Amino acid sequence: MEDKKLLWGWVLAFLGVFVVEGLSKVFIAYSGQVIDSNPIVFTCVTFNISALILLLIGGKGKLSKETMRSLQTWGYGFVMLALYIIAFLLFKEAGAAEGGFLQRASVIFSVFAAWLFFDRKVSLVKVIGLIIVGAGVFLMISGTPKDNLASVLLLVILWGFFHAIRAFIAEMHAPHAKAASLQDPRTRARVIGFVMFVVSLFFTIVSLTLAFINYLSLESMPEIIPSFDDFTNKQTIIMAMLVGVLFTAPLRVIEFTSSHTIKAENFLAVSCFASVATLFWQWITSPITGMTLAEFSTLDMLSGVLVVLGGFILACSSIFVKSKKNIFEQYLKYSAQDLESVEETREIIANSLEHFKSDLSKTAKALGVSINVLEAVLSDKERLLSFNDNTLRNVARSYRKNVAGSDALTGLLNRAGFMTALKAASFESDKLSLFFIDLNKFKPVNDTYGHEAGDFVLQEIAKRLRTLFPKKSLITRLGGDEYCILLLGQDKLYAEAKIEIISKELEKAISYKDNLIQISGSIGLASYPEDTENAEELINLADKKMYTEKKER
Amino acid sequence: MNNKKERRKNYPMDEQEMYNLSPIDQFIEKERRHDELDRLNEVIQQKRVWLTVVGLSLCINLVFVIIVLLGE
Repeated sequence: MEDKKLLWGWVLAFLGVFVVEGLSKVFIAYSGQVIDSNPIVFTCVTFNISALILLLIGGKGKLSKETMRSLQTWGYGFVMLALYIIAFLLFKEAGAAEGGFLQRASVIFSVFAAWLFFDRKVSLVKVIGLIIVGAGVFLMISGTPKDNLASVLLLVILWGFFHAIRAFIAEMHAPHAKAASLQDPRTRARVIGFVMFVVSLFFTIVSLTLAFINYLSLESMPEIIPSFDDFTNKQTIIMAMLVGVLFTAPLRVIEFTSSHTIKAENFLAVSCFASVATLFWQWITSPITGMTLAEFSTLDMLSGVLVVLGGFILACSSIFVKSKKNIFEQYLKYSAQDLESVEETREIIANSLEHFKSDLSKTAKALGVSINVLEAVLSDKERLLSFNDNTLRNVARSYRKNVAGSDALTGLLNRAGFMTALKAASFESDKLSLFFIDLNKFKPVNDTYGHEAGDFVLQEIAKRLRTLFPKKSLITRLGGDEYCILLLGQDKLYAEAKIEIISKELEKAISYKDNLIQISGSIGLASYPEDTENAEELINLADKKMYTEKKER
Repeated sequence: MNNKKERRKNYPMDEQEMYNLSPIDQFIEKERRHDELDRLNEVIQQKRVWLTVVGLSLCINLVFVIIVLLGE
């Protein structure tokens, strides 16, 4: 399941970069070169329509409030605006095609940040990939005229820094992560729609402010500053709306989904192919668009090849490492700073081992992890290892169900687990029947054959009861030799017919080490709503009836 | 009021259905679903945020279209 999600994340990233981003850049270039759109107005309209589309697709639902109140949402909006300004200046200083390759410096920042802040491993292959991307970027910068070398360098650093932040926000955006865990595409679209609304709000305010300044200014402003006339350009608005619906909205969904699944630095590694994809689509569509392809010097071509090659190695190293990822990395993490996680992990394992009388195999099975993982934590003298967040969630769930609420000897529910389940059942079922069973002649079994034999008998009885009621029932050993069976959705008439069957099953001889042990059981039955209006009283009623039946024997 | 009894008779409502209720306050009053009040209030808040943001987004997009039409 996890592997499938990862594979899907990689496929989405490649599709997004090669097809959606590549094609969107062609449309953007076309609107700039052929339609003569103002890029700020174009982007503003694009973001606005993409937000609306995503919000409409998402529809009314959960996480709306949380997304709008999340600082990450507003941070993403601010970073998008900052990136747009940096990109504009970078393209102006270095040229459009060169700027596209220089933007890939962000992958270096992201890998470094992933290692520094999130403790993600950097393999040797990854280092080689980074060196190659770095060499490509360095070569491209070295080709810049000396006059604007410093500004290009500064802009590349700023771009790398902010782009890495954007990718990490997309990866860690809390409401989006929650939407992803719900596995509901509409919730995901809704959350990203709200994020894009914030982005579009920033761009709308800036665009209108600039247009207003332009309107008031007596001197002629640079071409990039929009005027109110730019907002009335029909072709710009139509093209921008088209790009927003067809490319921007899907691209943002892909960015969030992939960054969350394959991690931010890997998504940025795949982005190294963006410039090549754009060139490819520009070449394919040039007969229709009539746009001329950018010309490259040998130095540009060489640095472009290095950036793409480096990105390819980085992406491959991550795919390769993921597939070879050992079992510890799947379940555990080093939590030097997070003592709470370490304590929680150790407490769950210790309690589970106590519950299963130090049986590692049973403990591992109950918690849903392998024995190796438990051994790794138990042998961690420095107390640094803990379950990773995903595993901790699953293990805690298994712990509640299989350890805290389970009887170690029989594997049935224990009293606490049964009471919780009974409470839940009282809300869900309108008919309930409960058998209270107390074994007769059990004490002599312990006295005659020993406690081991007694335990064997209790396990055998549990097995028989489970066989009798495999579905729509809850079976518990309340303690000692007392059992309860709760039938869900069954009325008294049905349950009464089962008393005889249960009795016969209990009376069947139990074979233990060449001995045949004979026991029987007293059974009390109480049903809801026939005997009580409060389902939680069923146990007491059934207990009383069992006691009466026992006295009559 | 026997809350427990009431809950058993009325199964918890599907959240998606809650989003489609209109108006929700009347539903609470009519059905006496006080046990679901917290969930319903949460739905009201989420719905309000969505409607506000969609309304705003729709207005901004409409303004762009209107400006184009007026500018022609």
